[in-house]
Amino acid sequence: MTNKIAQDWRLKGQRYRLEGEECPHCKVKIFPPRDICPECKQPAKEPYRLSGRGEVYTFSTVHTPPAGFEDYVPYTVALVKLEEGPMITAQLTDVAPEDVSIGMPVEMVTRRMRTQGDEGTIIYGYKFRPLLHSVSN
Amino acid sequence: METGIVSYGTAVPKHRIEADEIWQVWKNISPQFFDMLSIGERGVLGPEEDTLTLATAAGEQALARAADIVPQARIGALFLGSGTSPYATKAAASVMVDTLGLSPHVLAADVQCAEKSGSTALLLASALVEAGQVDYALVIAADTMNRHTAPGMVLEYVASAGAVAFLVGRKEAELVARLERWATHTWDQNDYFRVEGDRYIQPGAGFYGWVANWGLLEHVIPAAQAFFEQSGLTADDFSKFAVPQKTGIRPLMTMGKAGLDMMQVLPYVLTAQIGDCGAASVPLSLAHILDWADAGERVGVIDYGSGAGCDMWSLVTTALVEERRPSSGLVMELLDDKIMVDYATALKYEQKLLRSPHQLSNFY
Ligand SMILES: [Zn+2]
Repeated sequence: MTNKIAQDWRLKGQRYRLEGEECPHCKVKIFPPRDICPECKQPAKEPYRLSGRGEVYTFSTVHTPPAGFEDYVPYTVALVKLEEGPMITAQLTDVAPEDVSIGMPVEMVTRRMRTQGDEGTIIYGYKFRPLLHSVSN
Repeated sequence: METGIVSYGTAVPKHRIEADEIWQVWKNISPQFFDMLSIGERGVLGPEEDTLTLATAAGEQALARAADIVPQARIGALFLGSGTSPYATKAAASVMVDTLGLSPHVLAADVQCAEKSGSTALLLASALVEAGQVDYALVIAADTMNRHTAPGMVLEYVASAGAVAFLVGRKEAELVARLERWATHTWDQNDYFRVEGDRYIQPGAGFYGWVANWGLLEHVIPAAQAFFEQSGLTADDFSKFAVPQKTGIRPLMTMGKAGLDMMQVLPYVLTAQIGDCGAASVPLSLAHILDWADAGERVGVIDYGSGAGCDMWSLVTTALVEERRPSSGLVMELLDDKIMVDYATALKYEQKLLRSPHQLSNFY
């Protein structure tokens, strides 16, 4: 495998905890972080941790996977509209493809992104599952 | 002790398998023993799940449930209690500092003492909190026994996975349960073990018969005796107990020998629904108790680690256990939320099928 430890380290904030940015000028939330506000084109570098809650905007089911994803087929890749605004592409998990629908509430979970046998570090990152754990008291 | 539990969170794999699915392949135990051994359904690890992902999910829930009273920056310690960390060398707890978004100045460590890893981590964390060294500590008990149990081993019927997180604090006005006191008993006595480089756990003393229970007997009884002696309490002073529950009736009979009444124990045994969650097993039972507890109940926790030792501790619930009761994500809900899989799928998900060294995909 290719060892990309510097890149993995740089990306851990967004992979592990959906850390994006907030524009200090127009307050729009940005994900993935890109340091320039897509709305007002001003510099935007303020880190902002997104809640991880959102809903399925649209989705597609994968039956013929790329290498490394054979264990998951059939699986669903969705555009998830986060409650703070950004749209994010992610794999859905803990749900059968036939149970996925547009508008379905989902939440982020941390899972292994790559399982590369016995070599290499384990890469963790976000997937989304049907909303289960409400966090209210 | 001057500390207690501010909040807790739980996670178990959503995929499950029925014992009969396994039995159809191996037929290595008479199904008439299923009930006696609390064999029913167990968790199946998803292909992208491990001890760390489950621990992160439980930790996130505990933090979220206390978010209105505990600023994350005040958490000074993070302990992951587990015997099945995804890394043999490298602290999974340091990865979790990042997955949970804690301060990099947190004291983080993996704590290992077999299935009581979580209990022991909680006692260590509580001492740090009580001494005022840190304001809050997050303790997570997590294991993936299913990943580390060989196909065809009888333990496969119960080997499961899970994680339970406890946020430990010392401000009386924030605690759902106050920790009271603890006692322990530890010495070297062969029971379940796994040596460096091995994937699968082996039974030091077997799965059946009294000898399978000798580790439990020789640890639980003296730990409980020490606890009762030092505290002046008796089993009658407790309303409920969370106890080791790997294999049904035999561990429970050990609890009887320790002086517990079965009605203090049986309603909180979850093995038939979810199997043996390793270090998360007794904590899951405790979380289930807290989900339903009234204020002012004394709850006992007895946690046994194979070949390692037994901790016994007590806690008393406060009015907050009712006032701050989680409105969703209760243990019972978690157990009911499941996707059943067949045995072949379980083998695939838990990475127990022989793999080709070549690419599987026909899509490049
Ligand atoms: Zn802007």
